[in-house]
Amino acid sequence: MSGCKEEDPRIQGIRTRIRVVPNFPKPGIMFQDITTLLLDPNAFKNAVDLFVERYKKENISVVAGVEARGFIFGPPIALAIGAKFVPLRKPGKLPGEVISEEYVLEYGKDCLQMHIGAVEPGERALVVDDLIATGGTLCAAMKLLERVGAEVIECACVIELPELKGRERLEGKPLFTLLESL
Amino acid sequence: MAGVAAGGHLKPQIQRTIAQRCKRHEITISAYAAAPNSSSFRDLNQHLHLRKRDQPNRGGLFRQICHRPNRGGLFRQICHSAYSFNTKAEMASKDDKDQRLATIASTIRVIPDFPKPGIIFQDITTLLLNPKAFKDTIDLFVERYRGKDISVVAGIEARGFIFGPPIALAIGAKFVPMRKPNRLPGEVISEEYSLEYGKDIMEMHVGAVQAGEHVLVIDDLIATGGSLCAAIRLLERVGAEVVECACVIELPELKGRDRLGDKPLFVLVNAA
Repeated sequence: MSGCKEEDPRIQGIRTRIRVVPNFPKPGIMFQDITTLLLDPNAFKNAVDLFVERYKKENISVVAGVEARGFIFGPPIALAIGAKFVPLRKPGKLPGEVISEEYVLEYGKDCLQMHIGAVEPGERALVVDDLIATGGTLCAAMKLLERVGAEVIECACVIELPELKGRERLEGKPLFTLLESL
Repeated sequence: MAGVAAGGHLKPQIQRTIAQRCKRHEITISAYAAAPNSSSFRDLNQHLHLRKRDQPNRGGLFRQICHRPNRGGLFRQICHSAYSFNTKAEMASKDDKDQRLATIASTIRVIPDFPKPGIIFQDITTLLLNPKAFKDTIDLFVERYRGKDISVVAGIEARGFIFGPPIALAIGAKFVPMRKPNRLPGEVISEEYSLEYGKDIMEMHVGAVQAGEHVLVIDDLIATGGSLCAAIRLLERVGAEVVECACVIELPELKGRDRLGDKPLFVLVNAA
């Protein structure tokens, strides 16, 4: 990567709106809370705009959002770029026929599901979540889309936790985030 | 085509003529009842509420728009009708809205026996797969709520998270997620509510909403109204005013609307 690009001026306004809550959901975890960003309409709009500006000319027809905070950022992006929105959900929430992808957590496993028929082969897809930590969830999301023949162009998150090396887990798929947090 | 309310007898071409001429003269019509036996143009002007835009009712307007040889017949026609007469622009707007609602309704998928036998599930994910229908859904809410001094849109987890934020962004309001227990970090207030079997809990962040704020509550669907009620109670507990609840779909047989008491409910689609 070339030398430091100047940060978009809107990013600082977004950064200051993220609240860090210690020891949630369990001791030792510093939780990055985006709900305070949503309380500032201007900062929330700027965050969405930053994604929309990046993707609107990329011919993306699918925005897939990971339950539940991906449901907050994904739809406004989808609406602005004219793409469909596909929710990726925990088991048992989507009615009708689904495909499932299991993934590993720190302790145990979890599962992500997508509707059959929501995405066609060859579609260009964007995966959206509020935050990338270890990358496990985003990986599962990408696999679901690739299994039905879609092409995942990029994963997009508001926040990255670089120490957890989620970017590497994406196996070469590009990742775009607005800000990093330790 | 300009519209005629039930009981009107104006022929379509007469309606079009009037609409065209009114447009040419920059007159808007809101006409309610034409007196059956009006004998003068002035009378008729009053009854037809013909207005030059931004000016009070003026005599002679009807004469202006009917200055064709046929105007006697036209006059008689209008006199003998009671009608509500919209300009072409107003009718076009209503037709467009109906068209949007029809499209939205057609994109909702019904899944029987989900999540359990006997339940007919209204699936909005198929609406989200149609970018125009999804945009129209949001637009219909935004058209209703823009400029109404609403500073908070509260969305109920999880499908309320899909519709709430785009509305909030468009009307310049904050978005507040109403969540299942233990999902929101930091200080919360909780409200218990009843399900068909058992109970559930809804939480909201302390400090997200200030006393006196005007709030819109959003969910994809209202069934019994239990979740919406819990959301209303949480917001009222912090002193906010819930101005309306808005859903894409209502299941009227489950009488959720009644359960909301004095809180208004606005929905786009009714599902049996």
